[in-house]
Formats: sequence, C-alpha cells, structure tokens
Amino acid sequence: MEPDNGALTTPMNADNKEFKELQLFLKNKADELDEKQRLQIELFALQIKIEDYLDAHEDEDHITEVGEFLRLYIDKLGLKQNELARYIGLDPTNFNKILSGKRKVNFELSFMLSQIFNLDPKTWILIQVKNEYLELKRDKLKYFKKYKLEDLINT
Amino acid sequence: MNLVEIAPHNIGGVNKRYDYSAGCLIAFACRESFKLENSYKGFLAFESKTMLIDWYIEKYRAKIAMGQKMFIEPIDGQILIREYLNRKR
Repeated sequence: MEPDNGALTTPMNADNKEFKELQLFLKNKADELDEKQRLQIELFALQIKIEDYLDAHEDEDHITEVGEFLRLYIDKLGLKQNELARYIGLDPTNFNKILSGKRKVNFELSFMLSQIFNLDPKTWILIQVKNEYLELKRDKLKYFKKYKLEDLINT
Repeated sequence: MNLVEIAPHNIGGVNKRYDYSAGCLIAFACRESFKLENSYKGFLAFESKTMLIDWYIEKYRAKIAMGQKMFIEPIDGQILIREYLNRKR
C-alpha cells in the first residue's frame, strides 16, 4: 500500500531494549558480510567522500590534496604503496611524489586509478583542478584583481 | 533513519507535484549511512508505519529486522542511491 499521509516512519527510541536488539541484529548482519562485500562498502564510502568534497562549497582554508585521498584508499583497502605504484607502471619514488603533492596527476594516471577504484575516470583530475583553483584564490586573488578591461582599452 | 515525512502534495499517483520524493529521502539516508565509521557502515535501519512494510519491501528493497523495524543492506542502498540520487533526467 502506498502512503496516504506524509509520515513514512515511526520515530525510534534509542534507549530501550528493542533498539539494542536491533543494533545487535544489524551487527550480526554486518559480521556476515564477506571480504568482497566489505571491500565494496569501503570503496563506495570513499567514492562518497570524494563526491562530497567535489560538490562542497569552495573553501580555500580546507583543501584535501589528491595524495590524501589516495592514502585513504591505500589505508582502507590495505594496499601496499609500492605494489600499487608498480602495478600501474610507476616508479615508487615518483608515486610517492604524487602522494606528497610534489607531482601532479595526469589524465592517464587518473584513468588508471579510477579504473582500479571504480570511479569516474576524471575524478583525480577534478580534485586536482579544484585544489589548484582554491590555492590560487587563497594566495593570489589580490594579484589577479589588477587586471581590468578598462585598463586594456585605455592603453 | 528516525523520521521521514513527505509533503502532502507529493503523495499519491497522478496529482503529486514531484515524483520520487520518498525515494530520494530514503536514498539520501542510505548515502549518509556510508559515512559511518563503525560496523553499521552502509546499513540503514528504521521503523516502518505498519501499513507501509510491504511498500518498503517492494519499492525500496528493505527487509524486516524485527516487528516493524526494517533495514536496507549496503548493496541495496547503493542501488537506491543510483536509482534516485544519480538519476539522469
């Protein structure tokens, strides 16, 4: 039966015995998940984290670097940094530079990492572009404001 | 998911103002559940109105936990998120 008024749920009391039983029930369900299902949940949770970062209001004081997101994948999925680097044909030293923000991600690497982590291929480039924009806005906005069309016309 | 309510003008068949409002709210709650950092990550639990149990099962892939308490598993939550939040026009 379709809803005939606006309320779709009954509020739950988190202090009673029934709620504790529900928690236990869900805990058991979660424990029944196999490794593949757990991995899938972690991957999806990380994807949401990145989507939220890309959708978030511009905040130049809270920049999350590409390398920080990559490290989350490495940590949450229990990967070895050097093995991941070699798997995608990168020298581990160069990959470490990407993780520490000393080297940029290119489109090819964005494709490879996105393929491995089941993301949109341009994900890593979009994070990088957003961060570069925020850094410029934070550090050089005053400098760019000197450019004016009227100055150009009057020269 | 403690309390979900949709506006009266979004209820019913042909006359509702917006489609998918209930689905979007439930999918949004599923999405939030993936941000949990505990063993419930990806699970959504709620207490259904008695009359709506079958509706949740058929339309939103929910399962009965106990009595009117229901839950949506992570894999089904992901399907709802794709269906309702990533819907292409």
